[in-house]
Amino acid sequence: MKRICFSSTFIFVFLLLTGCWDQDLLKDARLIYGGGFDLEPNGKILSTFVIRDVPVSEQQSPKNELIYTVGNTPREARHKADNQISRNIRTYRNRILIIGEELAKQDVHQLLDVFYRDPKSPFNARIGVAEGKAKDILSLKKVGNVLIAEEIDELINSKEKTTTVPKVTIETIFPVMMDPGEDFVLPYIMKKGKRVDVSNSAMFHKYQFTGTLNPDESTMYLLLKDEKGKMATLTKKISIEKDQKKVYNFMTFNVEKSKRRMKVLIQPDDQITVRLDLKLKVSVLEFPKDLLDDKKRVARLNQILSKEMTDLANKTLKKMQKARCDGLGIGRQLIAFHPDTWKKQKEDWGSNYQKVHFVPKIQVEIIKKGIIM
Amino acid sequence: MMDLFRKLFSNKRAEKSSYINVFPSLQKNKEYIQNQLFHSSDLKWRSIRFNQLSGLIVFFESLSDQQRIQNEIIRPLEEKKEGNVDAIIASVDIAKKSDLSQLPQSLVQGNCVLLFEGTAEAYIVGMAAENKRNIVEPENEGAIRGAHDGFIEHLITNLYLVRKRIENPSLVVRYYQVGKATKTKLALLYMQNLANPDLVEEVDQRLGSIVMDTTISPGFIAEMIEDNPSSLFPQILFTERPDRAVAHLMEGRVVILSDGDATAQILPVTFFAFYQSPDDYHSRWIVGSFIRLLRLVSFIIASLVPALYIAIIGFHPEILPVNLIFTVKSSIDKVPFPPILEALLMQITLEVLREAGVRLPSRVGQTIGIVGGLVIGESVVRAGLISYPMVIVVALTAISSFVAPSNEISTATRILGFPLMILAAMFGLIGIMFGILFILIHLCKLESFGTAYFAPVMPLRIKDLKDTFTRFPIWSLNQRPHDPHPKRVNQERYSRGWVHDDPEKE
Amino acid sequence: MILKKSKITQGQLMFFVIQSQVGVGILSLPNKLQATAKGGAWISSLIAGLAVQVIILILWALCRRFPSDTIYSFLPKITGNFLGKLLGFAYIVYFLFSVSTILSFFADVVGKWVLQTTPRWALLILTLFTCAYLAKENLRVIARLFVISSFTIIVIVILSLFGYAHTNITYIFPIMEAGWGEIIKASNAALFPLVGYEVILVIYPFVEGKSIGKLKAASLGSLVIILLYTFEVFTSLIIFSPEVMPVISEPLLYMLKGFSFQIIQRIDLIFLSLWIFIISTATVSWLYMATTGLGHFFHRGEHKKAVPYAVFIVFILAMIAQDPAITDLYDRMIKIFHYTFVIGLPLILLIFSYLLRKRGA
Repeated sequence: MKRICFSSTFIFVFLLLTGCWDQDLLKDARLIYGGGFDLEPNGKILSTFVIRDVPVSEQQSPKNELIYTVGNTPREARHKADNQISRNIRTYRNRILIIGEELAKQDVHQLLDVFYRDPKSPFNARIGVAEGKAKDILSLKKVGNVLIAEEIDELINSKEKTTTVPKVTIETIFPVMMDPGEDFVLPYIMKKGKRVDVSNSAMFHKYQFTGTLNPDESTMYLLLKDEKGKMATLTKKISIEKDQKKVYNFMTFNVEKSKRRMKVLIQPDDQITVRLDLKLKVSVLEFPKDLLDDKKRVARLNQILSKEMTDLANKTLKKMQKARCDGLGIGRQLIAFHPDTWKKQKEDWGSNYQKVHFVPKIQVEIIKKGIIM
Repeated sequence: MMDLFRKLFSNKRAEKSSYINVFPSLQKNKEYIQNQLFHSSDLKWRSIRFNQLSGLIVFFESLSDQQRIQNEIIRPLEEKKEGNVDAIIASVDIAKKSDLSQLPQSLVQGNCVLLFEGTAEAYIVGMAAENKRNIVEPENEGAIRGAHDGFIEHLITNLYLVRKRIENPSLVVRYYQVGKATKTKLALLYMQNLANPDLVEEVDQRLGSIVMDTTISPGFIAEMIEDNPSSLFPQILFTERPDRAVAHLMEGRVVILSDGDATAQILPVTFFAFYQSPDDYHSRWIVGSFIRLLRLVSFIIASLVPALYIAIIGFHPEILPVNLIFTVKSSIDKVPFPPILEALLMQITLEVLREAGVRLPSRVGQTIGIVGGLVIGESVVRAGLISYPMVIVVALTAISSFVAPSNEISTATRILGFPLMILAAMFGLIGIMFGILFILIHLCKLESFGTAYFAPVMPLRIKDLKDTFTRFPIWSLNQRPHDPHPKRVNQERYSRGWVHDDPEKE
Repeated sequence: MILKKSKITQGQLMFFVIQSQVGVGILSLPNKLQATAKGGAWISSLIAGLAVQVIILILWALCRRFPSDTIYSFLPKITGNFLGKLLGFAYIVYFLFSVSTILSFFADVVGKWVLQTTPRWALLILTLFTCAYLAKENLRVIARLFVISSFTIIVIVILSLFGYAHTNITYIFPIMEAGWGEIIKASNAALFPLVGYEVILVIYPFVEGKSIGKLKAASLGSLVIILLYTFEVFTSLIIFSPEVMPVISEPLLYMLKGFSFQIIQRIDLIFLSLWIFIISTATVSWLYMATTGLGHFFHRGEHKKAVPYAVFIVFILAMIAQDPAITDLYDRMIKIFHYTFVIGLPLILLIFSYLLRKRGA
């Protein structure tokens, strides 16, 4: 009995003392759906917050509210935004983070620090680089009937599935960003009139934005990296005979299966050669020019496609080397398997990477032709 | 403890020893009995002459069967006029007593007392009236298939129901009388060849140590003999179903039946016994397993979901995925209360509604449905006092808690939710986890009659889990559950032996 | 002397060892090991496991000579009454110290990850209240709960398997980057997160069965934990690049933070919640060891009576350890304690008892 009395008093006192210290009520939160950071001319950071408000009644559709603030750090900007809006700003359900081009050319790592430090940060938010200013893209407010941040988020999501842009979140780029032997690639978000276009990719070297890849190149990059999404559709010009009409000279195909092998070879003179073998099994989606009933013709097409793709790979790799973006993690391979070479090269890996000799070899094989020959 | 026990026994003996001889004079006897029974108005007399002696038949008209007295005592005596009383009276239960002080007690038990002038002995004839209701299916323990009979308030009928199912000489019945004033009759039932003798002895001792004037409901007895009366969890299984009682008897447990109540008490039981129902064994085993799992899940839902909801809404909204969070947010935005208050309000409303539903006569009962379901459920949200998700949570809790086949555990689970809710409101998920840990510790501490309450999970016995979370096919349950420590563990060998001796296959 | 009611089986002994060993270490071990051993960190934890097996052998050999005595009652038999009691007290201090280190680390982690503003005392009271509720029970009840809470380890392993969605195996190469010297040095550091096996010093006489079976149970339990730790270290190593590892102190939580299922996000919260079970059982185990000693000296073997003030001492100690400087001090003290009381002293005692031919009845 004494024990019960003791425990109940204890519990009672405990209850009286309770302050619900960490309570963070959902109803008191203003949820940020997306955010953008831009560089101001004076070196400060211009933050754009997209706050989504959901009305109580089911008939009304949700609305976006945009707040622009300037601060020295993203966190300061957020605090300022908090001062301008009722209730508390909460970022934990942020879906998309857009970094303005100019700011991305500075140090992304320092910008993202707050996301890595805060346990409640939206770790699985998507991240992308904006062409021009993030503010301009977010200021569209609506694309068609879809609210801006949601549109971008879903757009990136669908583009990830078609192997157009890399599948990255704030979390997944963290270990890559910190690793000296690998660089990351982000979706590149462009404003096209009143719409948003996500098809290019932004390359980074260390913490800086250094260049972009066009849609074909970024698909090729992802194939080379062995990160094929559900689909990977490419359209290539086919020129078997020269005197063909120009219009229907193309073939659209989808990569069904891709198999990559990467080998890093070190010559005695420390010349690094990277062999990239890529075997693609493709299905033809559109080929208006010809029928595919002949085995010989298919073999010829395979050859042509292989060559086209190898060219594309070369072009992509050149571009990446020019941007110093080690997106394939060659440095990583050196660290792991050739530590001696790495020790010599790591001081200036960026420029050493540009000297790496890539030998891509892509074999394309048509395995499906659709329901006609 | 033992000293006290002994003292009580000696007290009882002292009471009994006030022995008074039956007076030879009828008048004196009559006076004595009347005085002892305080001239109660329902005490009846009838004079009779037999063997040329004037006699007296004394009985309570409220307790004795007057029809039988007339047929079995008065008519034979009147017809024969003389002879041996024992031989003439056509009744099973007849005894001679010379102790006058015992007569009032036997009268109170419904016996009829026969006295003769000049004889210092009284005949006590069992003439108790049997007013009992029909054997019907217990209302709150219905089963879809299987036996549809239930215990009633009449002890002997209840014993009949059990004995009829176990036609085995090993079934032992022991009578007890508890309640110094009410003298409630109890029957302890067990299988001699199965029940652990230590258990039987322990129960016997505890029943014997009850010193109390009135024992009305089995709840009284349960509270007297339970190991942990201050625990929230019931440790004795109440049932009104004879088939359930029999099943437990055959697992080596002990059943206590009490006169005047339709409830059988089964002990020792584990937590999981409260989530088993005879229905499980009547349906196919896959279905039975599914339903049983469902019940255990609903236990978790009933005790945990309100707390989880509070923790998520109040502490960790980031757990919710993006689509859900906006849906939830839109509906809770205008609620004026913090989630804990909201939950407490709704939970208490629910308890009130439930209690009102039990008390109200069934004709008015529909009103409760309308008031509770429509008015409170709908308007409270319309008025913006409570959010839709909270109403859903509370409704889910209520429904899940009623899934439990035992009413005791279903109430316990809902009450269990309250401390968890408070912990959730203070520490979020961390608080809930500590709450669960505390409950687990408590469950693993609990022992009832030497049996671990949370067996076979704590202590772990994998063989017994077959019939705990799931219900394996009966032919695979070769052993009895281990928790009551039965004398014989094996209950089945290989009943599907016919599978192999199929001559057609050759 | 030992009641039948508090006897436990050998299987329960195994779980007892498991639950005492898994504790705070699991979160921070990858970070600590990687700092010195780099890609070979997982080898370090295996080596540490081997060392633990040897230590268990020593402890077992010592306990075997006194099959019905706990450490508190056999110490005086070897070293004489006064010294024995003194050493017994030293062990109690060590155990209490360990509890408070565990708890202060726990409070730190929870304060960092979930409850940032909840005061430390509230969290400590909540934990200690729950733990004391179990610690005052007899060994059998404690063992029962330990068996069940070991299932959380399976869930933890499953949760960490989700991490394999984004792995990069090259992160562990070159395995020998740091060299054998560093790897062994790191395995020294890995010994401390593995503490807890010394529980056999106290519970050995309560276990049923032959001594060889007890050894098997204890080392099997320890093996399970070593494999678990190695697995977690390995998982962390291949998820986080070597440059990230020094930055994050709880890699396991960090990797779970980004995952999401359909209806739950922030898996790290789920992980942390399960981790509470593990922490609490470890706390209870140490508390039990300490209070058994206190009960032996002050309450005629009733450890239950020692629980309230032992809990109070632990609370105070854990409250003091808020400052990183003091936490470091605690850490260093624990290391010294550990070497002396778990490795050094038992070895000396073992040799002594061989030389002096001292044996329990």
